[in-house]
Amino acid sequence: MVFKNKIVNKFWRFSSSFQLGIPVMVSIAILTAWGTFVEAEFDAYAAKEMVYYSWMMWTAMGLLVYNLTIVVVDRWPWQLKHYPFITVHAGLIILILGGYVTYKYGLDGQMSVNINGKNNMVSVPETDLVVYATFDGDRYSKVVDREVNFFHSPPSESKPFLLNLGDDKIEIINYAKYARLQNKVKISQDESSGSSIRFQLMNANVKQVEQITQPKKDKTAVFNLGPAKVYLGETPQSETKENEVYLTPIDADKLRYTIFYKDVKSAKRSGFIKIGDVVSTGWMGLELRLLDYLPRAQEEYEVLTMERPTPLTTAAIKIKHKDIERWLALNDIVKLFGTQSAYLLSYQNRRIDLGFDLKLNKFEVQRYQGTMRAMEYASQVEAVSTANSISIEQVISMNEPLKFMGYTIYQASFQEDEQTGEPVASVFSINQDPGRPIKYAGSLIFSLGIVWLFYQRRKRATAI
Amino acid sequence: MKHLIFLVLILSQLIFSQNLLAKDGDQIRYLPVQDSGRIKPFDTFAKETLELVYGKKTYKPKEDSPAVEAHWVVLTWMLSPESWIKRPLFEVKHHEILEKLKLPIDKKHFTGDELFTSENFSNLMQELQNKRDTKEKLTPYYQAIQRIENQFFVFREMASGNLLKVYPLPTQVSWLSVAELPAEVQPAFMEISKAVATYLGMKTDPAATPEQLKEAAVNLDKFILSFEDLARKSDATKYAASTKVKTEVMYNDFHPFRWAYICYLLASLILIFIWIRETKNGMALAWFFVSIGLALHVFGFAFRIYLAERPPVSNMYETVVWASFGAVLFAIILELVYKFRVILLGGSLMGLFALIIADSAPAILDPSLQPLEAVLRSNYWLIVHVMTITISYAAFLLAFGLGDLGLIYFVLDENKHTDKIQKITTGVYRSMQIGVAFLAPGIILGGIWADYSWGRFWGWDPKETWALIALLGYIIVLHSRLIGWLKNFGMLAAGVITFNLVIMAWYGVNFVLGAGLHSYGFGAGGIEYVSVFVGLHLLFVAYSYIIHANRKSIDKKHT
Repeated sequence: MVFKNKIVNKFWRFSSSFQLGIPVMVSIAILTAWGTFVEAEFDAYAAKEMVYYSWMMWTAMGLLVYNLTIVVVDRWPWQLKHYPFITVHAGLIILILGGYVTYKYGLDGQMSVNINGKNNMVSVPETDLVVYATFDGDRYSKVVDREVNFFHSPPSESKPFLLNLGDDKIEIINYAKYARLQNKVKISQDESSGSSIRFQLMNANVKQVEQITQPKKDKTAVFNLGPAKVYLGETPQSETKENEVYLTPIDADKLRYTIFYKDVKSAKRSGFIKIGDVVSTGWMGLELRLLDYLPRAQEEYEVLTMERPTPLTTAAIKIKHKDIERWLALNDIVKLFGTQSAYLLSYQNRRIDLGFDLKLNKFEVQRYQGTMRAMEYASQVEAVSTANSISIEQVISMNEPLKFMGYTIYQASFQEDEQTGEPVASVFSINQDPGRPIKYAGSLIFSLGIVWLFYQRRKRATAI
Repeated sequence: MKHLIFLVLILSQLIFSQNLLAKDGDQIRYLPVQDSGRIKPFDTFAKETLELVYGKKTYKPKEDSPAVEAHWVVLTWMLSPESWIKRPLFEVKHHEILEKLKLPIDKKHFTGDELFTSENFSNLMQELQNKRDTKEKLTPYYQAIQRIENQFFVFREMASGNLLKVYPLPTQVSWLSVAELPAEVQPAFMEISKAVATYLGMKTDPAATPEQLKEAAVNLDKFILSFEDLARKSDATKYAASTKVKTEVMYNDFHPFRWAYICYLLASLILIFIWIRETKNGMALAWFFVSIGLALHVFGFAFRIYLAERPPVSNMYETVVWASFGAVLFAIILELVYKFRVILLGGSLMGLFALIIADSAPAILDPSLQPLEAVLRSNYWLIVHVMTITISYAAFLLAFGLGDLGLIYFVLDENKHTDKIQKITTGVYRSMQIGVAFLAPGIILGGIWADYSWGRFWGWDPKETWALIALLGYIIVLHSRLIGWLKNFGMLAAGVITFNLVIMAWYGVNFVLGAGLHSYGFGAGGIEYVSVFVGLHLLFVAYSYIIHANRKSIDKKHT
């Protein structure tokens, strides 16, 4: 194309030129390379936040699409010899646009469902601050729901993030990208708090110290050793037919223990235990020694800020409310007492209601013979939408997703019990991708174009 | 034609001198063993175990002492562990660890007494445990401690008879180890132990006659076979899965890839001669060796596919072997089209180079047959995209080799060799085109299969991202050539330099970055060698550039 206006023409020539295209390609290569290093240093989330979805990347991609478009338009009127070239470049433009549609309108989240449990909420990477308020301690109403990206704009003591709740003010005064939580059990004055025990389990092979704390007075805490379990809380009335010991707080210095057996021939045993006492359980010679007992206790955590993420780190914020300053980990909740009302504040990954329940009826893992290495795994699920009164039963396995109500549900991984290695929950990746057909069309056009171009070039002697 | 027949004869002699037929006393190597998720012959099990503990596939404590085969070494750990704990058996190379253990750093192998009895050893184990509790990635230092832990564990468990699982039961998946054998089977294994002791004792006894030795060997074989009969009786169907052990021992003995690179070496030597002397004779011989090499290459793949029941591109070792195959294949195709002779030379040199690397670094490029990860297992097409991408690396490898060859002429004298340079540049350009034509669809296929199995087309996974960066690199080069920004020198230099992107995508992501979804290929080591390799090539390009630039300015003055 040629324009009469000299400046326009010059600009057009530049827009369609390699002088623009090659530097743009070089910058995309450098940016993405940098992204992989960020990912190696930190994690995939950091790489996305810092590089892949940064303004630099948007600019480079924008310029690439611009350059490709002008290059194609510039050849107008197209002749047959231009077609392979146009196909390749148009395919690429469509492919990138498809990616943009996915980014803008797609959903890509995770959901974990316990075996024999169900779930309808999918969690996505975006984070929200949510506050519920109550006047009577009974009914809660949502008063704040704000999207926050502290990774990008972290709050600090001098520049806190402010939540104004009328009478009360909550400040976010710090943010840790990679916080390691260390649990601490503290004596509590609150009448409703539960108890906490520290105990040792030992026999010839095992020697283990554990601490369990009831979240509340009427809740049960459990430690699972695999073949045996230790409970802190109320003792069930009937025999459980499992190797289990129940410890029930009686008063400030003793608990009652009740031991059940999987082996039906042995009857249950019970008695009282104090700090320092040892009880022989009768399962594989295991003995239980009570090391510490706090009748009223509360679990809190301290935060250790790490430079890099590990599987044990999570994001955390530090909140300030009146004279209280404390850390709150991502996807945890804290109760705060204001002047008139009480608040529940949560810093959480956004959870989206799918509009249907996903029930996990069965989960199966096949392992390579004689090892714990997973060979294949599959979830038998049932998706039920009560609103539309439709449901479907299907086995989801690696590469065999379930499509339901516009969502695609993939088998991503599974969670194992730390002690026994038995699977406890299945993890699905759930997505909705309006860009998919565009990307596929782009891929097809691009690939055809490459073959066409290769064929065409073979006839010409460009190599020399 | 006469010398062809002669060569075939020599070659077959060479191959069969390896003695593919079982010798007396060798039956122990064929004993089926359950280990790391599959059934393998004791031969493979012993080689892999010795490799982990000792660092080599045969035991050779001193330069002049004879090499002891892995199966005897590992078997005698169980029969007389106390004698092994006093021999320099355990390989430790990490200097910092040796210093902590107060051991000399100029030695590589240590006795069990030296390593495991000191307080420092338990301190190291504690250090490793503390690191594991943090769940952070293990640095090479901790990986080295982990290896010592493995060496200790493997030796101890082998000595106690817990590691060697030889007896299937219909009631459970896991086979019984020697220590767990049912009482009625134990005598059968005792007989084996006795026969091994007799046989090995006789081997070292100078007074033993060949007849006696043969008798002891036959006796041992007999006991192994009768033990196998008992095991087969216990669970015939599970034991039937062990039919491949014979083939696997044959594969272990045969080393098809080693023979392939010997053929490529011979072909390269002949082609170098032809190319330098500019003669037309001898091409038939070169073609002959390249074809035999390629046939052996395919033969090796056939072995691995048959044994592992999957396409052979699941780890670094297999992709290197696969890419060397591709480099030779593409060179053959281009050579048939252009008849430049130098392309075949580049191909056989690169095939040789890649195969030697694959063969010489078993600690980094693990040649053992491992079961596949769940994701790869259930998706045949994921494997296909890996094959497409790595075959494109083969084309770039060819471009790299040709680039190196071409730059040599720029160092020598570009004006005298314009024709040769032109031919080589054409080869580089074509190889790059082939590479791009495979890499671009390969990446897109990867996206489609990732979408199909994980639900995301493009997730910025480092392995895919680096493949994309390599693609961008080569596309930039091809476009620059198209508009004349790159002349012949530029193309050759680009063939060498751009290959660094492939090295990063192929090796660097696994060994340097070590993060991301593709973590099933990750290992450690060799960074220093790769860096030297990359550095030397960059220096070579810089050097040839200086000479090229100088010559251009001299030429300008003359005109």
